[in-house]
Amino acid sequence: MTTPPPGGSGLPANLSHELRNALGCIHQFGNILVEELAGKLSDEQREYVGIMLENASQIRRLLDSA
Amino acid sequence: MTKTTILVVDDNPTVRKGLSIRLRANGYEVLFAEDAISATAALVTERPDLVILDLGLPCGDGFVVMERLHKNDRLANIPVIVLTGRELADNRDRALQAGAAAFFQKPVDDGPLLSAIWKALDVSRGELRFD
Repeated sequence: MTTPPPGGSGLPANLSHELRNALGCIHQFGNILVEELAGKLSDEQREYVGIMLENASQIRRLLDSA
Repeated sequence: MTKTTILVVDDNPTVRKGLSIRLRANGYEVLFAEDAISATAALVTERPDLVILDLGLPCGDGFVVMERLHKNDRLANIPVIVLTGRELADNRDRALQAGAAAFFQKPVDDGPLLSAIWKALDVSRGELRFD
C-alpha cells in the first residue's frame, strides 16, 4: 500500500471528491436548519439535526485523516 | 445602497442552493453559474464583487475561469475564493498561485468562509494586492 501525499486523502480522488461534495451539502443544510434560516425548529427537531451534524463531522474527520 | 454581489460557480445545484441561503442570510446578493463558460460570461456581464469558485466544472475548470478573469483588466481585481471537493495536495498551492484569495476544501464551516469573504472584499475595495 502506498503512502498518500501530504494533504491527500489516500482514497481514490473521484471518491474523495464525491464524498466531500455530498458531505458539504449535509453540513451546509444541517447548519441552515439548526440556525433556523429555514424556519423555527422544535427542541426535538433541533436535537435530531444536531445528531446529523455530529455524525457528518465524524465522517469529515475520517476523510481528513484517511 | 447597492448590495454586494457574489457569483457562486459550482456544477452541483444543491451546493449552489445551500450557499445562496447562507450568503443571502448575510446580506449578499447571489448570482450563479454552473460551468466555466457561463461563469466567464457572468463575470463579464455582471461584474460581481467576489466569486466563490469550484474547481471541477464542465466546459473547463476553475483554473480556466481564474486565468480568464486575471487576463481581463476590468475583472482582474475581483477576488476569488476557491471551494472544492478536490484534494488539498494537488490544488491548494496551485489555486493560490493562480490568484485565489483563499482556498477551502468541502465541507467548509460557515465562519471561516464568511471571514474569508469579508477579508477578500476589504482587500479588494482597498485596491490592495494579495501577494
